[in-house]
Amino acid sequence: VELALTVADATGWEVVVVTMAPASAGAGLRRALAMGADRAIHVADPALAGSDLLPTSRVLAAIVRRESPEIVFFGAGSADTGASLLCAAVSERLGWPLLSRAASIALTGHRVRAFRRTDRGGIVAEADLPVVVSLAGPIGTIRHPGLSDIASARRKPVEVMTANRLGLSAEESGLAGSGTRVLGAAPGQVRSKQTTILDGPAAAERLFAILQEWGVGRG
Amino acid sequence: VAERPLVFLELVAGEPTRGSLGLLGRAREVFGTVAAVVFGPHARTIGGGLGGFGADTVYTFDENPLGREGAAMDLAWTHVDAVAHLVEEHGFRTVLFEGSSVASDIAGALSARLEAGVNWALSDISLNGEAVVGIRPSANEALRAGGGRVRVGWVGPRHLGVFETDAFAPRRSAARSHVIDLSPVVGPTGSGESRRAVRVVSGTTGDDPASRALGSADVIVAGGRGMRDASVLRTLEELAELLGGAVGVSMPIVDRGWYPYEHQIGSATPSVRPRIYIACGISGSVQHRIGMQQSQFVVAINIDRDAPIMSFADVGVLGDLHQLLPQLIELLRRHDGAREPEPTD
Repeated sequence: VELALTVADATGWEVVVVTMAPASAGAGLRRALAMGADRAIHVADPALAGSDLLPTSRVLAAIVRRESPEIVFFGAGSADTGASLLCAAVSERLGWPLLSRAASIALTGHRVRAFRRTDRGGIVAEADLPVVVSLAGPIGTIRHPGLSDIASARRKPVEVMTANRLGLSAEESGLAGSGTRVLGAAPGQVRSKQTTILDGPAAAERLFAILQEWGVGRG
Repeated sequence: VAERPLVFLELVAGEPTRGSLGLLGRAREVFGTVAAVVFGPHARTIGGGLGGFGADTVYTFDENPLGREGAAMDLAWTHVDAVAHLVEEHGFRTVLFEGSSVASDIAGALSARLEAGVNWALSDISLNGEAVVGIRPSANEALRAGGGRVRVGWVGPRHLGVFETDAFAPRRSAARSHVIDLSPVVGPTGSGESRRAVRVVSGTTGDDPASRALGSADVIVAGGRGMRDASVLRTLEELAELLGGAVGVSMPIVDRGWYPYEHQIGSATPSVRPRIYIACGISGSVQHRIGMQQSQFVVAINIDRDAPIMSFADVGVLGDLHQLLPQLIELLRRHDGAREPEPTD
């Protein structure tokens, strides 16, 4: 949201925030509106419960087609959530270029230039609008809304959206529209580690002895 | 017909990554047969050597990394076309990737292109009769630490799987690979401009394997906010060198500009899984823990007994890292020095 607002500050563009989550999860949207986003779309639909990457990317691509923005931003998410796959799936559905893992972006005319933090190192890359941008990680400083911002955010529109209104059939939504299943779980053993505490003047020597037991060192 | 998976072989600095070679070997073990796909100017040469890692067939594509304006191009999205061609025209149902930035871009797009389910962060794969089953370490930290695993499956005929980085070690195989160059059929990938084109302006485009070194390191010496200044990282480097390991850092250190991002360990970067992880002045935030919790042994050097990392370290050293690390280095040096005179004959 911060990055989108920064672009909007420079261009005067509208910022629309979108979430796909149960109806109870509106707090994040309110916060984004308080930060300065203009309006919100909350996709809250029991028909979407159990959606994996396929239905989720269908929903987001349908919203993008409806709104026709210049840039679609994706937050970083954690490595475990599949967020890095989702932005690629959405860019594919739209046929838009993807600048993934952006740490910063600059907009010049019709081009977006991004500093990408990939696992091979930093890469500066650029693409033409409209473009999908996903973030590499948290943005350094985030604006903090004041009380008046929070109050005015309550008057900003939040549109509640369903899969049906976006033109998705039941077969394309939720568990039925997903390409993956969880089959089962093996819980394993909950291991609470016993931590050996070393302190005092001999700590370094005792650590050295333990490392030797673990077989470290050259040769 | 037996299921034959296709493994996307990622090159870094012109060489296949260790993890994608390992994936090839594991896939051969599980499915009995496996094919690979390789992109790049030397794809055919590399493909010829992949039989030794388990591939019986290797599909290669030349790359034309220059766009019409002569700008270098990011080619990940064009690889989607090529892999989709292999699935649609050569009958592959299962495509497997080692996790990476490039793999995420390609697998995510391919999922939408083929309407195929994608399971990610997999640690293993197996066959249950005809059905392909993926194994994913539990997302719940406590369960994961105890070996908790989730079995995941696919709906529909096509399966995409993205594995953890460096999940398998390469195995040598006696198989010979049959190389099929598809460049003449599909055309060199990335040719010309497109409205989807991503131009590379500058930066490393495959020559910086730093985080890969971190991914396969036996020992990682990691520094955090407890380091008083950037010069302490030289001490960490020295220790890592003595232990035959690599240096990692927590996110705040990268944010301060003390050390390159490629060395960051956390939830936004590929997980590391060294045998020994030595955390120096790292409190152990949830994000950091996600990045390193697969380490076998964890040592925490910290002045704070109540730092979260003390609850999941095997050994907690209470003290000032600025004193402890030089002492430890000295002990390791003396040890190495004592051993060197031994005759090696």
